[in-house]
Amino acid sequence: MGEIMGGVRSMMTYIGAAQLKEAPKGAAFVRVTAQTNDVYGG
Amino acid sequence: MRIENDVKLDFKDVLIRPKRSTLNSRNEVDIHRAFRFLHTGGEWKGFPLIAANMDVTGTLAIARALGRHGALTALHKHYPEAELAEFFAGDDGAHAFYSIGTTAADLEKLAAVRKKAPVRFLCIDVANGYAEKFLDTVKRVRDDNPKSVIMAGNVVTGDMTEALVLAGADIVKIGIGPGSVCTTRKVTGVGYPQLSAIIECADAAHGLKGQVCADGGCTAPGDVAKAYGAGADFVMLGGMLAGHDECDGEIRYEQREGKKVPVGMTFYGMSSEAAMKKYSGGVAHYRAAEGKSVETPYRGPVDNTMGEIMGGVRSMMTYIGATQLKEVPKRTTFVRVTAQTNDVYGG
Repeated sequence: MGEIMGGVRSMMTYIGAAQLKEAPKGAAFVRVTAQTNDVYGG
Repeated sequence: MRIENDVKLDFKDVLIRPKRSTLNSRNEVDIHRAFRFLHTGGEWKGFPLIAANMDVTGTLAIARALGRHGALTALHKHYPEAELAEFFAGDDGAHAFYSIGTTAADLEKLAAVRKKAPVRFLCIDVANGYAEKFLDTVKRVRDDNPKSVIMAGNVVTGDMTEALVLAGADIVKIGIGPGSVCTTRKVTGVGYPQLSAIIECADAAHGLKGQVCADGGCTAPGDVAKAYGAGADFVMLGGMLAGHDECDGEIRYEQREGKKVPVGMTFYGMSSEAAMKKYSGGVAHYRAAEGKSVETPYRGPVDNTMGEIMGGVRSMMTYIGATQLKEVPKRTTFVRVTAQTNDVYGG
């Protein structure tokens, strides 16, 4: 639960959303071909 | 909510197309480049590669070793004041960035070191360069250090690159989540494909006569070459420089034929639990770790790896017919690919 809540909180600071309800308004998705650098395993 | 529908690219999505040229040998190309900095004037010439300010790679020994190749090192910020002052007072200090975050303690230590030694290069970095407060810090550091080259980040888009250049950064550091020990993308869902980020941010910075440093995501010398092709003025490396004698990581040994030989070395992200335990007494209750700890193969002296990286960049330049590193972006045509290498015998 700490990890999930910490992840959501960090996402909100990245997009500048102080309230969770602001997150959809602040979110811009970019299309990608890879999520993570898996050079040391995923 | 909004979806940007054009697909953004990573290093693995492209290759550089060869071009006709009159070059005869790899010896005819120069991988060193001279820069004049927007806010500070003055010139620097060297191989524009920077070791990352991580515990394992941002070491004094790496700075001395890379300095011999004309490359730079961003020192990690955890050396004591006296050790930093002594280092920056010496000749090797000319090849190193002094790193700070945005805390008062960091700024006070910098002021104290500056009283004893010159600091030409400053690196101000935070995981999220999008906060207004970060711009204020960059402005303040610029006002207090008019003669220091300032590199600030990290961001991944043109708008914030411009804002940082205008706030006083000479070099803007690009990359959110591409690193090999970074888990930001997994934990937060936030990030931006690194090749597209470099292309877009370099364009924004160059329009204002600023520069960019591509930070993260390079896993082989070819990725460094692609970063220069995309418009990066500097390239920062963590994982590719980890595992060497000059690093500060824990070495693991194995017994082989009766001999104790080094086989691996620890490497971890600076927002990993390992780093937060070391410096902040653990992961704060309101946040999750955004990095991981791994073991890299032990790779001996960093000179060998630097030789490989410099050789790779030099060879790329002969393939596209660029005699000077600054010509590389102009001569680069990327082709989109679905595979990088023939892995029939493994990657």
